[in-house]
Amino acid sequence: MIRYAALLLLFFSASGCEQKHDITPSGHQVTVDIIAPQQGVFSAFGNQALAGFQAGLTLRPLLPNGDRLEVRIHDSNSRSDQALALLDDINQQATVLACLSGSNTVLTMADTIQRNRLPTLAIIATHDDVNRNSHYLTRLSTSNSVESQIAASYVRDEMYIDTVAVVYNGNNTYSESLAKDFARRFAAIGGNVVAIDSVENVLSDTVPASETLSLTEAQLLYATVNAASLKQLLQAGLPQKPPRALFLSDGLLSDMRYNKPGAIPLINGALTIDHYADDVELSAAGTALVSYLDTANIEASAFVKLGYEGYLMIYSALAACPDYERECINDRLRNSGRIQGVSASFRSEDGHTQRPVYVNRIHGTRMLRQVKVY
Amino acid sequence: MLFKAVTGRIPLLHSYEPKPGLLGLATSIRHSIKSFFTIRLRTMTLKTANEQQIDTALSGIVLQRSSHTGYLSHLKGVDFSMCDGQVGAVLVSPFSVMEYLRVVVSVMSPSKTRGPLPSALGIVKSRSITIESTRRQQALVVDDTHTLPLPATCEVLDKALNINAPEAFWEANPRRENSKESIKVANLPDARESQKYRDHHIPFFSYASEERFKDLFGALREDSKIDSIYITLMLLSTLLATVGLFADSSAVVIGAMLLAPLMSPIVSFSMGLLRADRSMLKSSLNKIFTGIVLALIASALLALVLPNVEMTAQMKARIHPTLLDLAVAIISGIAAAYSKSFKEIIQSLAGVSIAVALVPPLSTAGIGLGQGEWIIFAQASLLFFTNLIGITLAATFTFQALGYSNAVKSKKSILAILLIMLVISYPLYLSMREIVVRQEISRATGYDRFLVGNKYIIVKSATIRHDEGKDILNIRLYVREVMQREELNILKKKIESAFGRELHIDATVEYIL
Repeated sequence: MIRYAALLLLFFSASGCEQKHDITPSGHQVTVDIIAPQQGVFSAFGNQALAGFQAGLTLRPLLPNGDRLEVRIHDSNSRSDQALALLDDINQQATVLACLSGSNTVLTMADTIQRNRLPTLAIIATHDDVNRNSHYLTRLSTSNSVESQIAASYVRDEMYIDTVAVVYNGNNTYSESLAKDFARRFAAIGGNVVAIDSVENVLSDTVPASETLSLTEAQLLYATVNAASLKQLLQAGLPQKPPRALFLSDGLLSDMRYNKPGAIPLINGALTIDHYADDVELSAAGTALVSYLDTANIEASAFVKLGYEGYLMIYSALAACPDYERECINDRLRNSGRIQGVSASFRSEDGHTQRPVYVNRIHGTRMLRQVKVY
Repeated sequence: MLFKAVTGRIPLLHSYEPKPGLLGLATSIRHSIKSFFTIRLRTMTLKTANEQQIDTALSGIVLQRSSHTGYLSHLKGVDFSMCDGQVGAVLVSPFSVMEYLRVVVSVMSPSKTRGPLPSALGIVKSRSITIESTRRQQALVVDDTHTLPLPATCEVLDKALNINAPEAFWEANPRRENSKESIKVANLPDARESQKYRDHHIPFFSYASEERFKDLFGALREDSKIDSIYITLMLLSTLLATVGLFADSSAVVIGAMLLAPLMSPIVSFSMGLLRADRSMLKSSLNKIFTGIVLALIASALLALVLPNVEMTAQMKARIHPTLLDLAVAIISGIAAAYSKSFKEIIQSLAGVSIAVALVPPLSTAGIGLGQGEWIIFAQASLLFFTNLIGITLAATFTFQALGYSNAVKSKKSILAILLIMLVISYPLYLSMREIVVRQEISRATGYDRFLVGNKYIIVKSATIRHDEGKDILNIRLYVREVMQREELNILKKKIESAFGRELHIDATVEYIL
């Protein structure tokens, strides 16, 4: 009788355990090329995303067939022309490309990528046109149009706000298009955009920023500017006549943590859209990443997490294409199937990644979930 | 002896000196806890100045001049004074480790209010106390410094010590002449009873007294026999429960629970398991089995006669057993055995019967049988067997804890029941997990929004339930624009993807103007 009991217990304990297979190294390797802005104005998110990508490489270095992944990193110096030149250089030998540059650079590279038929994953770029005309570019981040639609709807239908002012960086395609898209969508659902202007214009005026942006009328300021501009803007005029609420574009908190940490208290309580929230449960992959980042003393910013998910996506494509043919890899990148990300699963369909995003409220250096949008 | 003398094994009390803080107390307890399990009762004899002789079984004795300080000061009824010309002895005779723990807790209680004297203690106060022990080489340790072999006599010597104290001391401690000898040993075992512990350490739990055991055992033996009353009550309670289930009346179902006589043979079966009493096991098992068959037949026949109605809430409540039901059964089993053991609280058994319903699940299973609904039959039977197994196991171990046997003697049977419990725990766990997941889904939807095309859809509320083998999501949505069928299909896919399961969705859409 005791033997039967022991057997039964063994059965139950065995059925409750996850089986883990060790991968035996094959001795072969496959290289992933990365173009990232390691220096220059965009180095903040470039280096953070790179840290995330390398975290993935550390945590899962071997493909299921035992081949080892390696990375070749190319610094674009935050310049689109340099990124384009690098693309020409690596085209012959590259198997797959991860691009950690912003929308401007990726838009510049899009035609060449299409011409060279090089499977490319744009990890950070969000502009809708990034992969509009390229069948070899897959976008990991949510597009600007999705972000602006969610922001406009949330402000109008959940915050019950009627009037907004909008500000953007005039020298940044991503910033301007996101701001204008938001304004258009907000107006389309019955909202009133009382002012829309570039931060450069606002700050060059002698009139205080608060008046330029008609903030006496606006209940909310929607800002798609970078950390430096936002700090200037907030210090220039808004403390005198602050709007009821502040809504910021994605990635701004990470930018601020890296570039203007002292200004973080200025955006406390602001809303923002991001792929992640700091108060939601992590998946197994997310838990592994956070443990690794703790050990390596790296801050788990949104860009680090994006870089890590980018690695998981490329890993998944390479794992499905043991011969590492570009066409196969590209197909797998563009239609990935379900991949478990840091806190939620995602998949790509025709090069567009389907993933939930969060509307968060900034609290200190944390982003707290308000809603999750699928 | 100036302060105290100790003989025997009385951990913690032997050399207990209160250390400051909880940490000190915890350290003392940790060091002594092992020695609790080495306590034995020894036959000892105490003779007083008035030639009173006490033959009893003790683990140790503490002789003390004053009870105004130290741990004795926490005990009611202990009044030893340095000024009454008498020496006091605390006799320690625990029947179990648990009882000894109660003594330790009583004397170490930080409360300044004196608690009652624990039943494991006796008090003797006399001018002279002589201690003898059957154990050779037992010694009396005096003031933690001297060791004297037993037998030894502790006697008050008048004027043996001159104390120079201020007058205020004598006012506070007046000399009490002619104090009476005092003996409180009614709780202690006589020497004859102590013989059974002679060769063993005291058990973890106390043995039940002979009287309590005799009463209970007789009652349980009676409970295990089938008689006409049992059959009548079983039939009536089943019919009542079946009608109550069809009528969806919780009052009627509760009435049937109170009427049901199934609990008694299950409790008898538990005692039979504990003591490996074959006749009790056989008769109680026979009675339970008969009850089950009767209930199934009666409810199945009634289900055939009654019109075929939709499943009522009362029926549904009996076809989704979870681990919580097992927990209810276990707690009820403990309560059943406990209330059966004491005549004073036997009426509590009715409450136990309501808490862990036995007949309603059987009736539901019978209805399933009668209507040919095998899933209902299987699920309701699972609930019944969950209750049966839970009660049996819990009652068996409760009887053991109450001292009706020092071990479960029918080891094979109890292992078999444990195995069955393990096996049924798995579907119960799955069922429980399913409920938890559903609750999590309902909770999570408070934060969920969907974007379909350019349409932002707000989830205002959502609940999920399981019906007809499907998960059904009732969801209330706010949206600005009219949604087309294609968009609704995309929304359904997104919702299913978010929840990780296929769903039947009933949506109420409200428009934001």
